[in-house]
Amino acid sequence: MTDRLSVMRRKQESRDSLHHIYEQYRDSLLILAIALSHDVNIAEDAVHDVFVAFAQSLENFKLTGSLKAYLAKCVANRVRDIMRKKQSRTKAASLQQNCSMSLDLRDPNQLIVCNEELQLLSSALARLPYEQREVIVLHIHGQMRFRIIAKSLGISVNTVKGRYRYGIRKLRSILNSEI
Amino acid sequence: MSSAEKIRKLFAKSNVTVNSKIDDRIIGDALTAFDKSEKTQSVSSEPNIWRIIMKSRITKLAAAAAIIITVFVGIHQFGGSLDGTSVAFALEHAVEALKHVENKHMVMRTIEPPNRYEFWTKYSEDGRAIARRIESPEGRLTVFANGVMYNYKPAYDRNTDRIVNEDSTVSIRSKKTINDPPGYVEHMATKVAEEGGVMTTKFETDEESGKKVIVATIALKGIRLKPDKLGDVEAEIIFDAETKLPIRAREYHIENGQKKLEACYEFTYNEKLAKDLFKFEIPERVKVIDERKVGIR
Repeated sequence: MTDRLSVMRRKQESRDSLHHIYEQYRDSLLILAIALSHDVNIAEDAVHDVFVAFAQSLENFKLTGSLKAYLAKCVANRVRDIMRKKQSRTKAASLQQNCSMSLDLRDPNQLIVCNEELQLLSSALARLPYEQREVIVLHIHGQMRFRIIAKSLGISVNTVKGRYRYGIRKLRSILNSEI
Repeated sequence: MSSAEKIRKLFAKSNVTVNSKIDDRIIGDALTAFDKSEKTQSVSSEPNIWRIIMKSRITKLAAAAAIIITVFVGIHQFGGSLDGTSVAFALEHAVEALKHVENKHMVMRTIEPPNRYEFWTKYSEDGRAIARRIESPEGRLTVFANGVMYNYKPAYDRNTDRIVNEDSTVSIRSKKTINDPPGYVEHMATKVAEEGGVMTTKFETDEESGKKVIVATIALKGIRLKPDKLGDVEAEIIFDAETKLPIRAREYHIENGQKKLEACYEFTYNEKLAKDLFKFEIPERVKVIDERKVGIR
């Protein structure tokens, strides 16, 4: 009986933790996913899938670094997967085209509504190649170091830095004309 | 203000308004998944090795490659071009070849941790997997036959190096089907295509057996190696050129330019199997968890 109570208590604590983690990181992860995909539906699906997978592995989960960074990496990876599948299905020519077909982020009828800053940011980022966008978003919003991004993407640090530099250069001209 | 600073400020001011329906969906599904994983762990701590294997890319690739190889061989034999008819014919041919396998024996060795798993699968005349035995490290055993699956997890006493039956468990489940090729074949081929895999093939003479073999190498880029890590995967599958069945496979992960062997597989077919291979007798005094009675899947 004591064992059962202890298991129930532990389980309830885990459920509460999951709830708490979701509430704490939801907005930040959605912003990250929207900035990457320029599509609220993809963003919602990515955050959903990551939380479901996270919940499944919660029992044996061993965190070695920051939880926020871990979830950010998982969301970024999931966005990439969803976009690649979507691209494969629609046979679109590029990720760029996929983004341009995204839904209107200002639409108040959407279940996720973005403020003006996020709309501006997302539109500007959508004009960059996905690889550059990913590095910029993970570095600036995800607060991940270049070394960590490189490890996560399986590429060299110099490639990450190069993508960041080229991306920022392009964003400069885009934002100068819009801000 | 630098461009990076502008972006940083835009991110800081970014905000989303989220409808409660989204929260309900995400947190609801996450909690359901959590409950399900809790239930599975508490009822049976035996990992479902087959699920792991089937999730492993190599198994999917092996089956997908079988089709692609057979398409290749079919076209070569019939001297045809890549028209729909010859591809469809070759595809059908590959599925048929797999259906005629009576049983399959697979030995899988993982490098880290260094473990060995053995799988025996028996197929019906129409190619369905109807019985399976899995021998895992530390004496763990899974036997499936006649719609019932037994998972045996022995408890070792490290001091005496003996199995303590009182602490060992056998869980019993109802299981109607086993997921296994060739049923998966078409799905797997589609999956490889979706992932943008690049495949190369060559004919060789196998050094070990002296037989003609086809070596298929499939390279996939940007694959999820871990939930938070991407990398490249390379799979090398060696097929018997005559039977078109895979006989060996290797899986490599490539991280930061370094190629690392992950697992090796060996396949043999239509072996003479022991009569009691797919029978399981519950050892005395072990704890039996019969999930059929409580209705847990």
